Amino acid sequence: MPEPTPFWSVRECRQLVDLDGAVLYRVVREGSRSDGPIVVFFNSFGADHEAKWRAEVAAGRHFAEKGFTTVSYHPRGHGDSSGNFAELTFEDMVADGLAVADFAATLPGASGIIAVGIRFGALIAAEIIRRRGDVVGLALWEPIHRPRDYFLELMRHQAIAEMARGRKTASSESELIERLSVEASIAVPGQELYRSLTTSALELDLRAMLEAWSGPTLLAQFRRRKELSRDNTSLAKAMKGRGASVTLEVLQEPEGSTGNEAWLFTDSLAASTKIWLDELA
Amino acid sequence: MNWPETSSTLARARAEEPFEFAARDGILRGIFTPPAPESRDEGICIVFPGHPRFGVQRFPVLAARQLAAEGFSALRFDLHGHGESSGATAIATREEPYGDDVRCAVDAMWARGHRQFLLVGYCFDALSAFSAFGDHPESIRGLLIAAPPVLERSSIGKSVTQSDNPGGLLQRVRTALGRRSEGDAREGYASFATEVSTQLPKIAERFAAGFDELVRSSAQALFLYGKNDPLYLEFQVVERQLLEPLAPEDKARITVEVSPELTHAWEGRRLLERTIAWARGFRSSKQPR
Repeated sequence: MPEPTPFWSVRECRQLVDLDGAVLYRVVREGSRSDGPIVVFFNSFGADHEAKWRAEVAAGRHFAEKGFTTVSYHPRGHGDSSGNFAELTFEDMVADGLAVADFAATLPGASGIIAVGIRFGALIAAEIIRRRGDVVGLALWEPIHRPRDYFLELMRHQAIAEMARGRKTASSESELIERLSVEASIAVPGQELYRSLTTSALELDLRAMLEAWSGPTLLAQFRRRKELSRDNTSLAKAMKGRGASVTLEVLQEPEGSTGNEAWLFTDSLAASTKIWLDELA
Repeated sequence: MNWPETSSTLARARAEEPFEFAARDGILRGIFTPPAPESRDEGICIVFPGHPRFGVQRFPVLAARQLAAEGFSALRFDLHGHGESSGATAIATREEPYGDDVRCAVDAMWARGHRQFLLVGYCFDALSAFSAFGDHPESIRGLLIAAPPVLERSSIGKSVTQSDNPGGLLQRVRTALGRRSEGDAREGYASFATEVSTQLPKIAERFAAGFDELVRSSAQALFLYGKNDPLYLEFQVVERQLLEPLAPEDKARITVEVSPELTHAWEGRRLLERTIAWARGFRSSKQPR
């Protein structure tokens, strides 16, 4: 049957593999380059992972079609992998990422890893860089800089929804932070925030985690405004100060977007990341 | 969601196989979960269309593994343009459910020797499952249809489908639906619609056709809604126009459950638990193992 998408030429190997007693879903998309870095995606968590998965798949196939072998996976507690999301910690997500990076490094012709960190996955990619010496490039797609701010933002969205229904909820920052450390889980739009993950990631800071990184970096941001956010500007400046080559992409959202739609993360990001990859190669 | 794994569900995860099949819009990809060899094979395959296949907090993944541990087989797959399936990504609309994808999934499972099916879906996925029913009315034993839109969009106002909890709006609609004359219903809809339609609320033809097939078949259907879901207001038109006039024996196969505290956004856990309990009702022996 003819494939109507441009991705049909890509050969994929989808697997469910054992990892320390758990089952991990991963997919390898074979690129034609006989050697070179392997592109590994590190995605976000929970509902954000679900929303960005299609973009990751599409970009992975796009890059493979252009010659780069790419690897995607579902962290435990996510997608088709096993595990209980409620028990997941940041360290678990890093462990899964490290295992996949180990696997990627064994693929034929592999000469290092290019990490693509998507939203919260940027923090996982940063930790992978800290623990491995073979990451040769880093692409950050709309990165989360501080989980603390991100969790608070999600909780505020929930509080607004609750207020619209006439219910009063905690709203000060200190009240919200206290809830994160006290309650086993907190409902936010589309998912639950579980204490195991929130407390293990609460104090992370992307810029601090990347303080030793000076490799080539793509920093992509979706915003209605044309300027980079303050956090992204600060991160780019710090990396450039260390001599890193930083490519900045500000991708405009269409009118009416909430900034979080899955399809926003597909074509334009794949295209800009592909250009950056070509230059890197 | 919090769903502790058991040794039996982990064993089913280990046994899962990536699966792909051809459909009109290209290759659709999913995961097949075989029944546990130590269980009695129920001979029923549960099909979960999704966008992606692990949507709504992974309820299809966890339901597939739990039910496979109890003797069912399951296929969860990505509808075209979503997840790992091919095809262009488009915003899902009620006008064009992906029934052909679901039909092809059932065909693919049929080709592997499966003869009895349950279809399970939420919202657009549910609509897609329902619209595929007419292609396999004899082999589909049951449908779990959670919170699908059922009316023609052109016959309703935007506010009904776009607002999360319209508060007093709901009351006005209920009042309107409580009236029996068509004129009153028209007036009621006109009062809450942002974009007032000049038509009466009309059940989508595709849904009505699927409902007719359902009535003619021997399949059982479970419709799930939240009482505060604007889409349940739509379904009340189905209840009045299609369900109420049915003969008792036909009506007995169609169950509508409305959760009083819910809106459109179902927690995965609730959907998971209801799916598992519902599917168990199709076991050859309903006694717990």
